Amino acid sequence: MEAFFDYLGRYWEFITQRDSDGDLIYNILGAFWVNIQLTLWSGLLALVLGTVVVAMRISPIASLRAVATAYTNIFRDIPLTVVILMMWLVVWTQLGVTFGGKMITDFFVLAVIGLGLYHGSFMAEALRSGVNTVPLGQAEAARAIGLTFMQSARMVVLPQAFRGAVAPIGNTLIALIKNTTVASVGAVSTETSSTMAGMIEFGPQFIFLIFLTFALGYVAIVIPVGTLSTYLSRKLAVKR
Amino acid sequence: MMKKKFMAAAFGTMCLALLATGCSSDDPAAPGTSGTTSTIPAGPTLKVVGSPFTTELYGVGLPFDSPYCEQVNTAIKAMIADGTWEAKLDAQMQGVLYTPNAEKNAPENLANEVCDHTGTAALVTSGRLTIGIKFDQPKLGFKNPDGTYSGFDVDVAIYVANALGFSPDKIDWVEAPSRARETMLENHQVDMIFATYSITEARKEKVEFAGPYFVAGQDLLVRGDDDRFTGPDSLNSSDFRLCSVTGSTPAQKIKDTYAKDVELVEVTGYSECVTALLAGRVDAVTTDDIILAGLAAAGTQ
Repeated sequence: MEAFFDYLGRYWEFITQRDSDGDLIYNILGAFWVNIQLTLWSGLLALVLGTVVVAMRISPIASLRAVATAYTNIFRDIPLTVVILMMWLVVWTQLGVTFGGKMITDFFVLAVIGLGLYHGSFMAEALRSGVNTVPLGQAEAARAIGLTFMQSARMVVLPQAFRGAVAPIGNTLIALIKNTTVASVGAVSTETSSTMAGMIEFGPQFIFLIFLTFALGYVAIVIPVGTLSTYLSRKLAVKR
Repeated sequence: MMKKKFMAAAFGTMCLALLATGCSSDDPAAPGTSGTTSTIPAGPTLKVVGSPFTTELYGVGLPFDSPYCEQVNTAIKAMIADGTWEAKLDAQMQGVLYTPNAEKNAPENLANEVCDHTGTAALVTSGRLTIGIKFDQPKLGFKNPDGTYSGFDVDVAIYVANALGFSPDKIDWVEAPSRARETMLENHQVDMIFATYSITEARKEKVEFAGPYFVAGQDLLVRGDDDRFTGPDSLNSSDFRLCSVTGSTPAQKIKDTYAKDVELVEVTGYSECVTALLAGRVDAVTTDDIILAGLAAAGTQ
């Protein structure tokens, strides 16, 4: 028992090490903050993309429907690692795309775009499931009283679709939170999985505690999101 | 215009894919050796500069209860004594004229690790030796497209296995990625590991080391026509970009000690760093000299 506490004590010393400038060598909270920022920005991008794409998919114009279907199928079917690696290896390295300033900004923005494009396809599908909860008669009635397609989408169909899609959107968001760790292959090296890799490299004797630390961190982030989405999906459901 | 640029980009990627088998470039050949700065004279595209500024002892990782520690040390000593060690190293680094640090690699500095533990652990597969190596480090531990394995780590492993009574056809090769090495040994998934495995105190808490069979040191890889860098200190400017692998010792070392201001990009593999270096997006790649020499050799053949 004493040996166990001694082991925990040495682990605490290991994770609270500071470099010569007094900065934490393994900034675990900072790493989680990077993943949360990645989640917020790419989640926003994915939601916007998903809304536009689902509007295109239910539009009366065939070519728009085709483009939206193609986008959804392509990005849903490419592994996220490949999307993020493409952002780094092709877009940044070979095509030389840059957003000015520091490399770290480039990598963050590219990772957000990659994550957003990938999860945008899932958001679109989540919203499409919401659209399917709206009875067809409502759309027909909206058109019958003279609303244009855009007006009926904006005022009748989409508001109900969002309320019917809270649970699947929540699921997509949870997947996104965990998928932000894939940003490490896009050279975002301050996020959690990179920090964890460094900790395992230099503290192999603590491998289980290191895994446990990060696993618990993600559980602590995901549980509130899951609880909130379940609560909202009940509260916002359209009673029919 | 746009198309041309894209073609160049595509060629760069293809070049990387062909690293193992060699690839040619239209770039005019840069001067190979620039005397003062280059310990490992260059091929036309990439060169290693500066003299190694750290000391990394590459050991043979063994489980604590392995019976082989002493025998591995004896085998390494024999390999050095009969000249095989040097011959194999020369053969691997042919074309880059790579000479390892002779003083650090003097015979008395090798295979002097004390074996603290011993046991009678059974082999992973009875009658066969399971050896963990890297699959992605050209000239060190590399899986060739035809399914064979090559590199200096592999050469040493074959010699040692032979001394233990296992002919090459009795060896099973397994990939041992950096962060999985201790776990693979502890769980007896491999009998021993030869994978640019630096001997450190933290690792000794989990595994036993025989060796070292090679003494490497951290260094810099730059483009062949780039004469701005002479050593780690010359990188200390926020204008310069340095590439290394996420969470590795070299990345941490250079940032902490030598070049605080350099912009560091950390990616998942050294081959990606080389792609970025060839594309001109980073100025230097850093890790152990022999790994860099291997990358340079593979890229310039």
